[in-house]
This record gives sequence, C-alpha cells and structure tokens, in this order.
Amino acid sequence: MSGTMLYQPGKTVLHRADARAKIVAILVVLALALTTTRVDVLVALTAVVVLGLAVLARITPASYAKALLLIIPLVLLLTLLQALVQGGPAIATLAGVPLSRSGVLLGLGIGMRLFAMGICFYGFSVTTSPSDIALALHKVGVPYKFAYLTSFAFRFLPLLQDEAKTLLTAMAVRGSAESSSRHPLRRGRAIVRMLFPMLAGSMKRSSEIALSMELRGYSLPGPRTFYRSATFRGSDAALVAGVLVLAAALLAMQWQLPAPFTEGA
Amino acid sequence: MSHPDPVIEVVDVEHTYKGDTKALAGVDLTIGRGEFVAIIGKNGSGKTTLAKHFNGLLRPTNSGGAVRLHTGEGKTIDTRGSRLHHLAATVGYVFQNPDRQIFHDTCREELEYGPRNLGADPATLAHQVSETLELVGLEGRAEANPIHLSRGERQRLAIASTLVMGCDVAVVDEPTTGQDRAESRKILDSLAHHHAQGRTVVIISHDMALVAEYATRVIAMRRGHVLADGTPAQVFSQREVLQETNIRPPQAAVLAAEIGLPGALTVDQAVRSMRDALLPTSRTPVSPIGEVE
Repeated sequence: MSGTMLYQPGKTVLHRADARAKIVAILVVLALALTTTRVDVLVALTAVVVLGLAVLARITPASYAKALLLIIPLVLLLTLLQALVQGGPAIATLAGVPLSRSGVLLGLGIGMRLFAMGICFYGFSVTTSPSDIALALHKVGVPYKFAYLTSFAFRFLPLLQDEAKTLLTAMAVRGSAESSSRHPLRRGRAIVRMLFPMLAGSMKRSSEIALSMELRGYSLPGPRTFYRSATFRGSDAALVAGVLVLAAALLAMQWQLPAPFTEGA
Repeated sequence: MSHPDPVIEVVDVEHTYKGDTKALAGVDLTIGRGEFVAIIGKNGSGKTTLAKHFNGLLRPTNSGGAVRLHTGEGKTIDTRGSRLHHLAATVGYVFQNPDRQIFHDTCREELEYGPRNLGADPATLAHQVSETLELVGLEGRAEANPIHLSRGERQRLAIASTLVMGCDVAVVDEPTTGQDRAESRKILDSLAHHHAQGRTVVIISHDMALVAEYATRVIAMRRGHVLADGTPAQVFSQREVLQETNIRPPQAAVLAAEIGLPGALTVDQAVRSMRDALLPTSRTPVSPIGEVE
C-alpha cells in the first residue's frame, strides 16, 4: 500500500460492514480520545484500533506508518510546549528551564490522541467507498447535498495527496534536496513552499468540478435516489456492540486504575 | 541503435507496478548525445514508464536491469544508487501537466529555482533566465504570476524551467497536448533550439506530424517492448508494424507512400518528391528523395 487514504476495494469484515456502523465506531473512538488525556488509556485505545484494523480489515501498521512519522515532529513540539507552560514538579531541566512532568504527560497524551484518531480515520477511508459514505449519511437523515459533499471530500483527499506528491517530485527533478529529504524540518520547508500552489490548484479544480456538476443537472429540484442500497445486518450490530464494550472497558480503566507516572498516586 | 557517444544506457529494464502491472518487459536501448528522440506508442504502452527511468523517477524492478547516465564530464552514474536531485543536473524532466510542477509567484522565480538548486552563479543566473524566457517566447513576462498565463504559456514556462538548468538531456512528456498548431510549434521550436546547442532532447508524443518534422530518432513502444527504433523515415515506413500499435504515420508520409514516393514525411518533403517525379526536368535545385532518410 502506498500510504494514501484512497479507498482500496476488498472483502474484509470492515469492507463489508455498513458505513453507518463504521461511523458509529469512529464517533465512539473520537469521543474516547477527546475526553481523556491519560497516556495509559490513550495508548490502550490506539493499540485496540491498530489491532482492530489488522484483524478486521487486514491493514498492517506498515501501511500508515509513514503518515504517523510525519505527525511525530508535531507531537514532540506539543510535548515540549506543554512541558514548558504546565506547572508542577519537573521531570528534567532543559538549559536550566524545568520541564513539567504533567506537561510532558499531557503532550504525549495529545500525541497519542492524534495517533488514535488518525489511524481510525485512515481505516475508515481505506475500507469505505465514497458513495457508501454518502448513502450512509443520507440514510441517517443528513440532507442529500451535505451527504454528497462529505463523500466528495473523501474523494478529493487522495487527489490532493497525489498532487502534493507530484509537486514534491517536480521539485526533486529540478535538483531540490529538500523535497526528498528525510529531515523533517528540511522536508517541511519544501511542503510549505508547495502549499500555496496546491491550494490555488484545488480551488480552481473545485470550481471547475462544481460547474461540471451543475452542467450535468446536479441542482435540479426533486427527490434524489441512490443506485446502491445499504442494509444494517447482524454483523454491523456486532461491530457497534464490540466498540461499545471497548468504550466501557476503557472508561472502567480510567476510573478504576490510578493515573500512571503521577507522584503520590 | 548503438551510439558512439551514449548519454543514457538502458539495459534489460523491466518495470512492474504494484498490483502486478508489467509496464516494461525488458527494454534495451542507448540514447546518444545530441539526439532528438521521440517515443511513440498508444496509451499504456510504457512510454512514460520508460522515460521516467531516464532520471531515476522510476528504477528497474528486476535485479538485472540498469539505467546508466554518462555525464558531460565523463562520469557514469547508475540511477539505482543515486538520489533524484543528484541526477537532476544530468537529466531534466518535464511532467505532462504544467500546473502540477509550477509553484512560484513569478515566472522569473520559477526559472531560478532549478539552477539555484544546482548551485548556479548568481551573476550569470539573471542572464540565463532572460535568455530562456526569450527562447520559449515569454520575454517580458518575467514578473508575471504563472496563474495568469494561458495554458500554453504555462506549458512553455514548465519546459523553460527545466531547459534553464542546462542539463545534458531534457525529457518532456507530451509537450503539445491540448495545444493548437501554432502553440505546439512554438514549444517544439524551443526544444529544437535547445537541441541545436548540442543537447539531447527526448519527447513523448502522439503528434506524428511534429515527430516526423523535429525528431532525429523515433522509438515506437508496444506493451512494454520497443517495437521499432530508427530514424523517422525508417520507423514510419514500417506501416504494418505500426498498425499493431494503432499509430498512423503522418498523413503526408502515407499519401507519398501510397502514390509510390516513399521517403517523404512532411508536406514539404512530399511536395518536393512529387515535383521531382512529375517534373523531372525542373530546373529548381531540389534534393533527391533518398536524402531524406
């Protein structure tokens, strides 16, 4: 796999699952990730998400490891910032400035939160076709236009990724060492340089697509129908139940176990 | 075709994309310094895959395959062991869509980018840039934002931003797609000018009339193999072979061959051949058909 978030057809459990069940699963994981900053709970959550994707969708960590590596500098920066601004006992000193223990834990917690959510979204995007997303959203009551737009965003994302890759390659073939550098800061500079043209390009493209949709009768009045249908089966209910059990387990972990690494806990 | 002064050597190259699509199935060829090569073939025949091997954008997927570049300074570089930006000084590559490779606010900055990366002398850079802008017909647009250029102008800008680097070889993927005759000609003329300075140019094209007119060598691809390789006259005369890959030689060449005057590729050449055949006593000095290879 190339690491793109493009839908990859397959026949695994998650591929066959109803998109609504997967959306519920994502919302539960999101809720769990956003309501705690405890590193232990978030590590457990990430581990379950990684394991779940490996077992239910045969997505190995190798396929998204590259994307995670890109987040690491951000996580380190966050951790450093939190360590500097949070109070409490110090875990170490950096050039005479104390680094707060709770700040470090908070920063790492936020990092794990990003990991859990990112991997979860990746799994959803790779196993769910954009048209299934539109259908699912429409079925749960989202107006057609918004449902369609959401599926559109999922279709657009891989295109943007692809465009970014081409731009970086175009820089490299003109002798830029930055664009293929493994050094995150140097590569970051190439990425910043690429952002504006990419944004301008995608604005242009989206206005062209909007026009082409109008020209093919997109905004005509009348009820819209779907060619495909979605049925919520027993296995989908099982998936939702499984995620709820996971949520309960992690909440219990949060309440029953003391927070780790805290002094006097 | 062997060449006394090779610049790119492709040895038994195979390329299989992820998902088991075999795009190149064993290609051997040598491109000589100073050639103007056109790679032709229908969509999916492996043209772009082959061209992307010339500067390391792609590497052979078989262990025995190799692509070697011979630099002007007499060095030989294997693309497999080199980073992309190190190969950029030898082989420049222009992608099909200009909008995916232009990323500066002015044409001048766009052109300066490559040479700066290669460590160009700032004193001569300004001159180099204005000369190249003139070459592609964008003089006076140095401070213009590329967004405001026409599609054809952006294509020429993308080509200029590679030519300005002064690489030994310029590879240009479908330079004339979507352009009218006049615009296509401007693009090919700028490449021909680059070629006239002793540099090597490789284009991928579906426009057989332009290929016949500008290229000194044609490589026809089919299903990942080289189907025909030679001068335009040699390749376009193999009509049965070309039919297999849905390529029709330029209309002027087909017409000339049909009426028994093979060898002519362009309208001018066909007219000359006809004139020679019909008016053998004509006093106007015309070159014999055989001179057109």
